[in-house]
Amino acid sequence: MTSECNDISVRDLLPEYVHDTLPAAERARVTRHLEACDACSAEVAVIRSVRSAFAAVAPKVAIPRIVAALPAAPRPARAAAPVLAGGAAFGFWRIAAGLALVALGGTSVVLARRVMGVRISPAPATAPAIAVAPKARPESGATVRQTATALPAHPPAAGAEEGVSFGGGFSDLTDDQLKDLLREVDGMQATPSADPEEHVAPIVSVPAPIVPLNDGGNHAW
Amino acid sequence: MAVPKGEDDAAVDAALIERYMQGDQRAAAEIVKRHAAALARFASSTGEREEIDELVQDTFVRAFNSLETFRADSSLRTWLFTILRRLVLDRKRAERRRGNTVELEEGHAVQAFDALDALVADETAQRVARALERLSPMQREVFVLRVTEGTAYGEIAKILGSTEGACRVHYHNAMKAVKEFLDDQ
Repeated sequence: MTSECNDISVRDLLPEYVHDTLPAAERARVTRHLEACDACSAEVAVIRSVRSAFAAVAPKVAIPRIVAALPAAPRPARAAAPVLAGGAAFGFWRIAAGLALVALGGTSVVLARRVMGVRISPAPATAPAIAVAPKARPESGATVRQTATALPAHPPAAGAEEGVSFGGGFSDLTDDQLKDLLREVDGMQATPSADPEEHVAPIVSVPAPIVPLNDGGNHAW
Repeated sequence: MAVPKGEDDAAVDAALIERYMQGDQRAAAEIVKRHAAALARFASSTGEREEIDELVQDTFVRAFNSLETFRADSSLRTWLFTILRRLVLDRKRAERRRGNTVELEEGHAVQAFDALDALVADETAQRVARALERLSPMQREVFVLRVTEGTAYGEIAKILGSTEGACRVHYHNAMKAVKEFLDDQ
């Protein structure tokens, strides 16, 4: 039986010496000490025996199963930023598109109401409005506003009484005007052309309150 | 000048943790590979014989679920050992409540540690196992951590909730007892 070594500074380093985790200088110092100290050499032998015993019975652990049970790695913060930025940008465009749709829808309703009003209004006041309405675009707010504000500018009172009755306007025509109208109607093709330009011009020129529909005049009379 | 292995290990663990926090799941596998065997050895030194695999798995799951709380004032392995030890104690308390009395406290005559004795066929290893059986639980835990893992006293104190000085005393008393037992055989 060996007695204990009194050099505590070396004894405390023996486990690290066996694990080979000492810096070179300290390892050399312990090596020199072990050559002269039976107690510490015996202690090193015990440490090695215990290590071997535990290595022999070390329970096997299923590393793949442990890894599979682990929580998923968190999403990196750097990758999350572009996603948020893209989402925000996408959200902006969604809002812009929604506003444009609302503006377009509202404008369409206003224009539809105006068009209905135009049909009972004098022809000279309504014809330009009909021509403008299909060209109004949502991104051109100025155009839409101009159209919307221009329409009420037409004096409705002047033609309102004239346009109350669709057929009543003919009573104001002279015989010559009626004859001219009949000649023009007789001269029209029975089958409307696919080209709206040919039909719009003569109809607009008729001084009657008949107004071409907002389909480019492509319809039979 | 050579970098001490402990510092090197800490740097590797820190890099792996960083990679995992950045979304690299393979870093988690590397961490498990680095520490699973040591955790299993420590688990067996606490008297656990069955479900060590499950115990180690629970340790890692608990650690990774709170990895953002890990602070580098101790090593990752020390932190893992601390978690495992708490799990062991929780299990033993639960077993005790169920009536399966397991001795936990220092100084009890009956020791739960017989894992090595049951498993080791080698004669020298069996004698080591019997020597360890004679130690108190605290002495055995300090001794095993110090001898099998080369854990520093300061780290052992953190794992066991003790002081560095107390751990040093436990270790030298344990070493003396083991040496005497082995010399008498």
